[in-house]
Amino acid sequence: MWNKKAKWAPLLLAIVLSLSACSSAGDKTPSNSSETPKDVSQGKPSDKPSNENVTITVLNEGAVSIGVGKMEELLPARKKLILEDAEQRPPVKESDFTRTPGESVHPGIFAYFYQQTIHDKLKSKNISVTTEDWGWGEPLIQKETAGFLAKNIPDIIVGETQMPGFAVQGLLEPFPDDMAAEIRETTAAAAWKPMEIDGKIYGFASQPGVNSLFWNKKLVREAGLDPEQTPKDWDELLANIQKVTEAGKGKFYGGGVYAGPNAGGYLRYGPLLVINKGGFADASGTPTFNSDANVKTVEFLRNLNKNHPAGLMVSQQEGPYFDAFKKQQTAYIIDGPWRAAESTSLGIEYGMAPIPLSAGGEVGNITIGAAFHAVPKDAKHKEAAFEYIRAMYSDEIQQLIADTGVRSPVKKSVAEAPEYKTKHPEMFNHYQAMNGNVQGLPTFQKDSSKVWQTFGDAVAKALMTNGNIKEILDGAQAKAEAIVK
Amino acid sequence: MRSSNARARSFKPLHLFGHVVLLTVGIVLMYPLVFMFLAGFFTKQEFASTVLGIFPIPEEPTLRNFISLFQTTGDADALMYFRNSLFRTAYMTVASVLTSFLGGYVFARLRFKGREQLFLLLLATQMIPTTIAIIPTYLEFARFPFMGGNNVFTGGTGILDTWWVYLIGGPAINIMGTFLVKQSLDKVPIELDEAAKMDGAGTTRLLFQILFPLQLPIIAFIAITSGLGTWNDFIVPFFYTNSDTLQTLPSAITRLSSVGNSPGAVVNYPLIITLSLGVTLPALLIFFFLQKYIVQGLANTGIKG
Repeated sequence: MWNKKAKWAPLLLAIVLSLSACSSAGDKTPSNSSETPKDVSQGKPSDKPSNENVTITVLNEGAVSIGVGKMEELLPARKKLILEDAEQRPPVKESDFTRTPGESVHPGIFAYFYQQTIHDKLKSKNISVTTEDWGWGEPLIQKETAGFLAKNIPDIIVGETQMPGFAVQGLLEPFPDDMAAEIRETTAAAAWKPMEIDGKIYGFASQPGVNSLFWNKKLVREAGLDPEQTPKDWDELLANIQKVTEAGKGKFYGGGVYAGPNAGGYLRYGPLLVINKGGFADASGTPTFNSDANVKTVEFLRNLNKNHPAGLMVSQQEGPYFDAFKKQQTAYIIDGPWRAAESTSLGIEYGMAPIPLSAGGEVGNITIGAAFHAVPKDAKHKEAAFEYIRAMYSDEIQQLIADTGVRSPVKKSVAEAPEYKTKHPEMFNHYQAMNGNVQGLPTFQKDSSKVWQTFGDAVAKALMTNGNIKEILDGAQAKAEAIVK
Repeated sequence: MRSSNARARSFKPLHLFGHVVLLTVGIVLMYPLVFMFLAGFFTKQEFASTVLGIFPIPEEPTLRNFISLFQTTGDADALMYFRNSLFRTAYMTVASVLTSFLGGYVFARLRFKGREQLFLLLLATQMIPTTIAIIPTYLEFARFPFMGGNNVFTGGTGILDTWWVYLIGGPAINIMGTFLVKQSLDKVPIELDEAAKMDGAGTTRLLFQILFPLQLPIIAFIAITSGLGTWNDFIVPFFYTNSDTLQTLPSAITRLSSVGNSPGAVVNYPLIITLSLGVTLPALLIFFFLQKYIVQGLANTGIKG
């Protein structure tokens, strides 16, 4: 009996040994780089190349992604793909890959140039980059959460609304003091302000956005309005929207803003709350859903809702809302700056302006499409990771963003240069909006996602029914207070 | 005369109504596939800017998306994802059949202390939704001893982002399969085992030459359902692997979609839809040709009204 059992022992041992042997292969073994875990908050950018090569892992963000893997291998492969891509409008030529700062860049090559610039800057410091793609939105949040728990997290992570929460939980490394000071002094607030907690900066976005008002000039013209005129205030905006809806006779609508019960909705109608001197929370993170200002804003949203196909404004998925604008079924939309370039590529004649103010309102906005990059506490190469972030606000990268014209740069020296204002007047306005009263979505004291859902559902209910808005928001406030108690 | 009588007997308004209902339901169910096929001919610009009709026809049709299905390079390395999907599905199907059969045999035939309790415990795990298990499973893979640079349990990445996620983490035990095999084996008289042993058959011979052939309908059912489940699964590749070379078709499609969620990036819906068609069609064909085994398999377990 014993012999029978014993004959399996060598096989078992062989399996264990082979598994152990395989485990040490490939790139998955953590680097044994001797990068000293210094107090990075005092760290300074090193101009001298390090003697030792360090490879950092960086999470991809769609707007600047050129694929997954080692950057030096991705760059030539991506260039070949771009040249072969028949769907590029206009087609990309070999000569487009030669760039002179200050001259226009084909939007289709932006991500390539962005990664190439960072690659070259880091290579001189003996830092190599490997990229990973963990998705975006909810799957990204879940995977990042798992990564934090397992202490298996890339050197740079990226994200939008979840990032301040990670910082509050102590999962992110604060930027070194000198770096934070430089960022505060040289860049627009939208790039870092939402990631500032207790005086420390935890994340940076190289090309964040704030919301603007866009309109389809063709549809506005068909409604008998002057498409070159920006609506002065909310009343004029609503009147214009109503006229477009009437002119559309069910074929197209006035539109307005997406207000679905999710982050996509909060990010877009949030600026209206801020403009009208309301908001989601006070400074301590306590919900302030039922303020008089918010009630009036939701009333405005209810009026806008009447100028959409039924259900579109509060649909669970945001995609169909933006599709309607892209397919010229709605005339007005509040969205991030990329709407301009996307409209151009789709042949939509568009107007772009700051969001009009309500009567007695004040200028304010919420960052959108801000892909904040941060260094986790458990990152293996923190100093090298901070070098990556330094490259993100370098003159070269910021000039590239300016020359592409899809979004605004955040570096003051680039965005406030006279030639930028002349060449990209709309994006210059957008840059100015990024410097004012700009906020991120707040994190509530407790169970933030539940509190958000409470407010989102209440707004959706207020728009979809004729119920008393004040009572609906009072109900949401009571629920939210019970959650955070 | 006889046949015309038979036809007259068989023609009943209720039958006609039934056929009309089935035809309508069939058309409704087939419509998404037709839409996906037609959408595959669009460029991403035209797809984004056109108000699509019920049967969308592009003004400038392109075969680019369908060609991508057979390319080794491009926006999506579909051929590699297809190979990965195929390998993972084949492996999981074989592993699932083996673990189900052996597990079912253990619980149906062997007598040991705590057998019933262990079986109930295994069944209870079926009540846990997959999404709840994502983070614990991630930690389990990350802490896999001596793997991926782990010093016993920590220090490295475990088996995350390696083929071991599919090879070790994947099969585990197919609980539902084990349950079905146990149910089926319970109906096979124990005397058959005793007769085989009296004729000199060892356990391996009894298992694979006598009992396994008797269980073929349920084995086929387990293979089909497990194969289809793996083919369509995106959670395991998406959450536990990062490298492009480890992605399967469903997880690659999820990645392409998530690019669109990043504001400013243009999502290539026609390509995503065409790749989805590439995922759906093989599964549909397998189901179409092997559906009788699914019915037989379920009937064999006694799971019926």
